[in-house]
This record gives sequence, structure tokens and C-alpha cells, in this order.
Amino acid sequence: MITAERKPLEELIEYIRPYRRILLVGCNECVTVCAAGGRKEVGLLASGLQMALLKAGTSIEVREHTLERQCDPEYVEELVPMLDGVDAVMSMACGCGVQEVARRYKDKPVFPALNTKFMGASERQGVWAERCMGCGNCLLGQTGGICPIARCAKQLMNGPCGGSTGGHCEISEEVDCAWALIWERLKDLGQQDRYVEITPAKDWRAGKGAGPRKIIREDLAE
Amino acid sequence: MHNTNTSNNRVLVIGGGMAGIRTALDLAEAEKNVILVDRAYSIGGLMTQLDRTFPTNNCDLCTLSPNLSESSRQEHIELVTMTTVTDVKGKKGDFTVQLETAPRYINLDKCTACGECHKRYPEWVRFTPGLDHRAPTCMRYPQATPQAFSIDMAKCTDVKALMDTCPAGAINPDDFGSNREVKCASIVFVPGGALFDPSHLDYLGYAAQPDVVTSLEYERILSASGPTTGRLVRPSNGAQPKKVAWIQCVGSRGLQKGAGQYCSSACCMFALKEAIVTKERFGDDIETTIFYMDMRTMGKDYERYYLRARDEFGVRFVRSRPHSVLRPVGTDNLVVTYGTDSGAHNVTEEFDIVVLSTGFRVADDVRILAGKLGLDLNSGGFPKTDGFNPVVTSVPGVYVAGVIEAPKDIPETMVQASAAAIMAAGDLAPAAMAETVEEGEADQELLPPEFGVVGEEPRVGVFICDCGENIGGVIDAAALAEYAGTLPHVAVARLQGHGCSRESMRQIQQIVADEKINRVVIGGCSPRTHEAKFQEVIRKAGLNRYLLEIANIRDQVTWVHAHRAAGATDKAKDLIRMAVGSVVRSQPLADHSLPMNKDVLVVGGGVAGMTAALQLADHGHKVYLAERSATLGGQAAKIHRTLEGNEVAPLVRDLVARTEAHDNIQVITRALIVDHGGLPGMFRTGMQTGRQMFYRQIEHGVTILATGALPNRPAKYLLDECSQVSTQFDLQNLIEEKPGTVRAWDNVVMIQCVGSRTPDNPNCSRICCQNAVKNALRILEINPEARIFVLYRDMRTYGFQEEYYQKARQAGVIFVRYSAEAPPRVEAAGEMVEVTFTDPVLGREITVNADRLCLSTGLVADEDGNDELAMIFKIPRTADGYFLEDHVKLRPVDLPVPGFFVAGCAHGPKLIRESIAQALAASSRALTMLARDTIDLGARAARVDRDRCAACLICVRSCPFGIPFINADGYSEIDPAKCHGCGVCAAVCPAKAIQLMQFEDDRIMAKLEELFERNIA
Repeated sequence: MITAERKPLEELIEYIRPYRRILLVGCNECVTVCAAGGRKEVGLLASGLQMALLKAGTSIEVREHTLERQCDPEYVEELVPMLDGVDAVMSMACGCGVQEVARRYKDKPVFPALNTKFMGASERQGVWAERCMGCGNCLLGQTGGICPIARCAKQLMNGPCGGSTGGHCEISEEVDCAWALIWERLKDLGQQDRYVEITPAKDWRAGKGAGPRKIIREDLAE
Repeated sequence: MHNTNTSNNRVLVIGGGMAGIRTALDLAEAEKNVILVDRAYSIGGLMTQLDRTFPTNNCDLCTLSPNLSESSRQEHIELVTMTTVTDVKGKKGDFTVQLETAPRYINLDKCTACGECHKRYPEWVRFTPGLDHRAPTCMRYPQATPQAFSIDMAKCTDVKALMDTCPAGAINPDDFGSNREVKCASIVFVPGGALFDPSHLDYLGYAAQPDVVTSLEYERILSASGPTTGRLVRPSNGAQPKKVAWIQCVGSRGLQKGAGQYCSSACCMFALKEAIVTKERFGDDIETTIFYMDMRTMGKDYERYYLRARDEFGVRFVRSRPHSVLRPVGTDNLVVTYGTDSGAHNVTEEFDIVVLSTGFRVADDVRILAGKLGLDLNSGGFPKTDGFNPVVTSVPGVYVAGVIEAPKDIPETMVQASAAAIMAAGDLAPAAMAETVEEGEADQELLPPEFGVVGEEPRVGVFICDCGENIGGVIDAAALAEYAGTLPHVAVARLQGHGCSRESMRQIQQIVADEKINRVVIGGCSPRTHEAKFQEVIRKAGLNRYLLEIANIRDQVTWVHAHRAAGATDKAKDLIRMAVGSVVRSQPLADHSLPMNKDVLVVGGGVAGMTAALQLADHGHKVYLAERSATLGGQAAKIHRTLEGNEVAPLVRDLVARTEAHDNIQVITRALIVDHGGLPGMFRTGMQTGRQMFYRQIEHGVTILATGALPNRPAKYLLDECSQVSTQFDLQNLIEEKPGTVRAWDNVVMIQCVGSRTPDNPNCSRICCQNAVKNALRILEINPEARIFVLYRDMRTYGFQEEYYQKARQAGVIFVRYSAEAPPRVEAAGEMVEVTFTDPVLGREITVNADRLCLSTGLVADEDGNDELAMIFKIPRTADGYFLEDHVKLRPVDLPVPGFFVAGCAHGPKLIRESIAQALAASSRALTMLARDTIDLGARAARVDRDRCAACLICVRSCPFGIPFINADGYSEIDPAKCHGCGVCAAVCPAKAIQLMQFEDDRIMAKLEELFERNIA
């Protein structure tokens, strides 16, 4: 999923200070699952904003709505009847959702309520960790299902650097050395020979190297 | 109360204290009919007068009063107060009893306990024994059952004035009382204990000195409902005391003129409790001292309580029986004179209050009544009971429980009360079942079908109680009703006097039907006590019972803001507006229920397990008895005889034979429990059985854990190193099997508390003191010339065991105290053992060359076995490994997981007859559940909105019971039959897809909006 965290309240208040009627839009996909921008968070932020501004002497109206997905135009269209009289929109989706809302409603200022973080998995209740960087050419098959691009601080392709100590990365005790994990996993699989194979320099054009990317499915696209 | 028929197929319970209430409730819940007779005008007995109870220091009234009102609600119980039993005739199965009811001068059907009569004459309502005078009208405490007052006509000087104060017209000066004859099949005699009156003991100064009080009076001084409303002051001058002393064993252990020979069992603990509560209130500003002989904290976890009193609270303990309590002329303070081991001279010390820990005795009228029942009594006037079943008396069909059996504290009283209930139920003819089932069905048929309200415009009926002066005396209830009428959706709003009176309930029901009301708000008292009643009313009117909201304008408004009428009225309006806002959003809900499995799993095939299995099998239930070892019998099979001299082997043989032969019992030996699932009423337990460890699964409705405890065998004092050293267990074998060896002994030494009351195992093993006394007396029977030394820390021969302790002392057994800091030393010396200890009286060391050293090693929890079972069944344990019951005082055999009960030493160390009583109690409690045909789950369950669910798994991960799962359609599903209604998932759901029925967000938000509307607008 795409993970995100809510921005500090102070920052959000600065965005909306000039406005009196706000539409706060949540998303029922990834940001719900990572407890950053679902219906509950929308409700909490709406009251938080109202209370904070009321304490400062301003009363604002916050309309709340949560879309099934903010990154699909059909869902974003649902907001039309709610936008009447709204001064600004605040999106609690990831960056994709914010941009989609902004693209559709060109006359309204649209602000992000979240900081979009990474593509990750939940390690346990309340903990998410980065797992994929979207390099465009997956090599998990060679690395025992553990990604050295997303999980090695140096994105090394052929084994650990000299900073790997006791299974930890040199940047922090909290971070596992991806290559130590890969080695353990390959050993478990009896595929140590994979480790010896030299991976040539990666072609980063499949990733961000060649600018913004797009997928076109000829069979689906009209 | 509809069981006023003349059928004799019911149980008469004599005494409405804790024991009587528990017995009556157990019987009623098992669908047996009961008449509960009490001499007092409200039930509750002694416990209602206590301030707090050990070891949790909970407020007593708060723990007790729900039990009392539960009792009044029960349909199978006919409650007859202010009534004495004057004669008993007949035999088991067919008793005829004469009852004499004294006049109450108040019509119970009309009295609403509004308190007008008491308010008009504030001097008249009293409840504090010994510290005040009795009043003409008297309700003992606010939560009394029946909730009605009583008038002492002899004291009332102006009947007319009194009658005029009663708004309900309930006062009836022409009440002459009544006599009646009732028939019953069995009788449970639970009159409780009276307290020793120390007035005649001049040297304690009780009669002359106001600052010398009994412990019950001290409880009243501490109690918030007492004469000082909870302020601890000296009765003589109202000043706060600085030093308080307790004197133990007043009226017990045969010490004073008129005292019982027995130990009263509860006094050490209540003195500790009173001292701790005193310290909690005043901390460093007060000194507490307890003068004692032996600290008898032998109950479950009681030793820890004692240690806490000493180490955490700084309660001072002086082992001494004070010589006198005097107040020198011209002084304010009491002077206590006492001697100790440490010097030849008496010490004098001043105290502000002296509390006499008075013990229990049998009241004279109870002794007379016991005579009418034909019971054989012991020297103290207590009924003699069966050696292995403490609730069985000398008269078949008459059972006892609680203090009348022997002095004891509350948990054991509750155990015996439940045990007596199942014994008494066993004497009923089976017809009782069919009869009541028919009645139950008849009640069901009377309910009209529910109206459909979904989609209908809400029509709210608001009913405001004035509750006599309770509400109407503070706020303008009529104006409140008028205000309610102006709120949106309100169709009817009216003042209803006492909403909970029968007449009002009938009116509400009528109005709901006539005015087509589809939502109801009651402005009255607490939903905790009254929600069920009003739910019943609207259900009878054809409304779903969940279309109700209660605004607690009594507890939350008039009681807490009694002196601020204007503000209180505003707050009451807020609460009513909130309730209306919420109730219009309420939806009809269905109660969930499942069929009840009536089979039973008993784990453990010792005396407790077999007793429970046999009882429930006799009541017609299929019982699976799972035993870990290859044979039945448990630890009792290794014991020869009890302190009282009863042979244990025939008991065990008989139990095993009956258990194995019973058609309803399936014995599974070599059974190892491996998994468990399901819910109360329909459990599934898997076990590996037999030599081949075949797996099998059993379905059952309830579970009784009777897994026992293990004999302790610590490596201390040369045990298992020297052949002259053995445990008391080994010793009794030697006595019974090789008396010749015993005859050759000159000196025998016993050491108490070996492996108990130590840092590793802080609790007392309870059974060892009587064990030592038993074995010492047996040795002297065989070898009267033997010299026996018992080295002890505190002799804990509670109850009637005390008489055997005294007998042992008289027979020449030498009891020598040792302290934990200076334990005896033991050395092997050829064929002998040298035991060296300090004699506290001589103040020097003594060495005894003993032929035999016996260690009182007690019992320990089966750490591995219990740990395994606790994990599988999800049941908590105490720090020392025993299973932890739901409530140490009031629910001693119910485990916290519904449908689980504990019996015997799995709960804590105990004697055989105590284990049997507990097994009977566990079966009685199990029977209350097994009597139901369905498992009632209520309507409070979480509901998922599938369209909103993002399948994020947060509910799956946070549910404490593991109920939600993501179903094949990709959204979270919560089975209402399994949901516990805790609301955790509803709170954490990030998609707001889960609602807890009865507590839906929109209802809570509606309340908040109504409340804060003014502020935000």
C-alpha cells in the first residue's frame, strides 16, 4: 500500500487560515488502511481544525466526505454537489489523490493534509515499513524475495558494504541490512549460488531515470 | 411473586443474610421455587453493616446491593420479611412450617421508598447498631430490599401526622401482622451469627468507655453510610484519633467468661482490614496497633494481605493479650496495660480508640429455632454437621451454611450457601421443573408482537419521575416535563411520580399503546438498576426494548447538585434534550441467542471432581470426567483420617465406585487437555487420552476445574537426606501402618510452615496446623509417653479446630513459637536428629534429640499443569499459581470466563470437607447455567457496514477475543453470536465501518450535539 502520515495541525491551519468553508476529503483505500486518511481520521481532523480555530476566535465550517478512491476520476466526480460554497478543499489522500482532486476542481485551492511516505507493508498493528521503490524492473527473484533497492540504504546490487554489522545497517541499529537478510534467506532456500552471480549495473531508465512514467494497456485503453 | 401456591415442592430458606440470598438465588436461577424468610425488615444481614471487605478493600454495599435487587427480581423467590419461623413439623420431602409475620405498618405494594416519612422526621431513620437509638420509621440503608420503610408503632406518637407525610398512602396503622403455614421439601437454615457482647468484661472497659468499641461499631464509624458519614472520630469527644488499638480474640478461643471455645476465623482479617483502611485514610497521622495471639490469615492470598499491612502500611503487631483497658480519672485517653515476651514487667500505653475484635456466637433465639428443627448441636450451639459434608445436618432435608455451620468469613459462606442450594434442590421432586417451564412459556405468550418502527416518524414519549423528594425536591419536575414537551418529535411528556412503581409502569404502558409512542425517554434514576424494568414495560406495550433512553436526572443532577436548584434544573433539561436527541436515532435490535449444551466437562478426578460430577449427573446431566492419571481418587486417596477422626478411605472408595458406575458419567483417564474453543454454553475441548494418546473432542456447556494441588516437598531440614526426617504425610502413614515404630519414640519434633509463608511461597498452606495437631494427638494415643514439640509461627487452628489444639496442649504437646528470622536448626546425629531452637519464654536455645522430625510441608499449586490449562482455557491465575476466581468475596467458585467454575485445591489449599463443599458449590453454580435452554447474548454486538469496510485488518488485529475476520466477499465479518460487545473494533476502525449496537455513533453524536448546540451556535 501507499503509506502516509498526517501533517502537523499547525501547518494545516496555515493553509486554511484565509478560508471559512472547507471540504475535507478522505480516501477509503491505502490511507484508510494505514490509519492516516480514512473516515475516522477525516472526522478527527475536522473537529481538530474547528476547535483549534475556535480557540483562536474564528469559526469555520468543515464538510466531511470520504471517497472510495481519490485516484479515480469517477469517484472524484462525487464531490461536485458538495463543493457549492466551499472556499477550499483539503485532501487526506496520498499525493495521487490530492492531484486528482486539484486537476478536477480547477477553481478551488486544494491542500494536502498528509505527507505521502512510501510503498510499504504493515509489519504489525500500527507499524509500516518501506518495501518497494517502483524501480520498474523487479529483481526479487534473484534476491530471495528481499529488495536491495528499497531496503539497502546504498541500493547495492552485489552484496553488503563494509558497514554491515551483526545483521544491521550502518545507518541505524533499527534497520536490518538487506543483504544480510538476503543471504540468510538464500541459505534457507539452498540457493547460495544465486549470491555468487554478478548482477550488472541496473538500468535506472525503467525507474525514475527517464522522467515521469506512464502505463498504457493497449487492450484496455480506448 | 406468583409461587404462592400450596405446593410443597420448594425450598424454605431461613435467614436473609449473604448465605440465604446466595442459596435462594442459586435455586431460583436453577428454576427451583424458594421461600426466603428473614426476621429483619430488609434482607442483607451482617454484611450490609460492614464498611469494606478484605482483601480487596471494596465497598461492601456496592458489591452487595446488586445481589439484593437481583434477589427481589427473581420470579422463583417469595421474599417474606419481618417473619419468624415458629414451628417445623414433618420430614424430608414434606415439611410443614409455621410462619409469624410482624406488622410493618407499611403496604409494600404502595411504598416507593421515597423517603418522605424519614425526611419529615430526620431523627427517625437509623441503622447503626450500638451508636444510636432506633427510629420509628426505618430503612436500613438506601439500597434496601424490599425497597420500603418500616415503622416502629410503639415509638410513633402521632400516627395521623405520619400517615399524612406519605404521598403514596402506604402507611397502614391497622397492620396486625399475620400467621401462615407453608409446606416445603427441604430447609436451608442460614440464620448467621450473632456477635459476642463484651459488656460484662469490666477489664476491657467496653460498657463504661465510649472510646472502646467493637469491630462492627468501628466499621460503622468508618462507613460512609454510618453515623459520622464516614468521618473517623472518637465517640467520646468527636476528635480525630491519633492512636488506635485492636484487641483480638474477644469472645473466641475460650478466653473470656462466656466466650466460645472455637476460633471465630474472620477476626484477624477484619482487624487487618480496619487497620489498613484507617492507615489509608490518615497515613502518617495515625498509629495502628494490633494485639494478637496468633495471626490467622489462612485464606487464599490472606497472608499477602497481612504482609502488606505490616510492611506497606506500617501496622504494628504486638503478640500479647492485654491485661486491662482503663481511663484514669481526669484524662481523655485509654491506657492499655500488657505484657510481652521481652520483659518481666507490664507495659502501659495510651490509645484514643480501642477496638475489640469480637467473635461470632449463636444467638439464643437461633438456638431455640435449631431445637425446633430437631438439629443436634455442639457445645457452642452450632448444629453438628457431617464429617465430609459441612452443609448436611443431623436432620435429613435440613441444611446449613455460613456462620451457623462454624465461624467463617464471606467467601466460604458463599461456597457453603451454593452447596446447600444444590443439596436442598436434590430433595425436590422432579415435577418442579415442568411446572415452572410452563409458567415461563405462559409469560412469553403474553407479550404482544413488536410494532414496526423503521421509517415511521419518531413519536417520543418522555416520562419524568419526581421520585418523591429525590428529584422533585431539588428541581421543578413539572416544569421539566413541560420543557420536554417542546422538544422536536416529542408527542407526550408528563410527570410520572414514581416511574418505577407498579401503577406508574402500568400507566406508561397504556400511554405508549394509546398514543402510538414509538420511542421512550425516562427521566429518572440510574439505568444500571432500572433499565431492565423499563425495557420490560415498553416491550409489553409492543415496542422493541431497545427503543428506550434513560436520563439519570437523580444521580447525575439532584443528588450531586442538591443545593443549586437553578443550575440543576438547567442540567436536567440538557440531559432530557440529549436523551430525546439520541432516542430518535435508536433502532429496534434483536437479542441473539444460541441453544445451550447441557453436558458438563469436569477436569480432575479427585474428591472435588468426583463430587461435582456425581451431583450434576444426579441432576440429569451428562458428565465427562477427565483425569490426568490412570486412576480416580487424587490426593485424598493418600490420607487416612481427618482431625475429627473420620476415615477417608471409605469415602474415596465410595466416590470412585459411584462415579464409575453412574450412567450419566463417562470417566476418561490418562486425559491430557490440548485445545479448547467455543463460547459459554457451547464449548469444545480436545484431549489426548489413553495410552495411545488418541485425540478426541468433547462438546459441553460448562466446565468445572478440579485439578487439585500437589504436596510440597522442599529440600529443607534434611528432608530426603536423613531417614529420621519426614513430612506429615509420611508420618500419618507410619502411624497407621507401623504403630510399633511410633511406640518406640521418646521425642518427636514437628516444624510448621516448611515451604509456606516463605519468600518463595508467601501464602499459608492452611491445612498444616490442624495436620500437626491431628498427628500429635494420634501419636499420643499410641504412645502416651512420647514428648512432642511443635515449632510454629502462628497456630492457625481456625473454627472448631481450636478445640483440638487446646486438647493437644492439655495432653502435653509442647508448642514453641519460632520467628521466620530465626528458624530452627537441624543436624543428623546417628539414629537421631538434633533440633535446636530458641524458646521465646526462656529466651535461650534448646536442643532436642529427636527420634523423628516431621515437617509440615503443605501444598503447592501444580505449576506446570495449571499453567498449561490456564493457557488453553484463557483463565487467570494468582501469583502462586492457583486459579483466580471472578470475585474473591462474592463469587468464589465462578471463574472470570463465564461457564467455568473451580472446586477444591485448584482454588487454593483446603481440607477434604472444604473441597467437597466447594465441589457442591461449583455444581450448584453450574446448574444455574445448565437450567437455561438458550445462551442469551443480548443485542450489544458490533455490526460491519460492508460498503465502508476497507478490509484493513485493524479490527481483526485489535479484537481481544479474535472474532472479526475478512470473509470471502472481502470485508470484515463479525459474528454477533460471538461478539462480546466491548466496542474496541468500533473505536479503532479507520473507515468508520463498524458500529456497536446500542452505542451507535449517531446516537452518541446526537447527544453531544444537543448538549453543545448552544455553545457552537
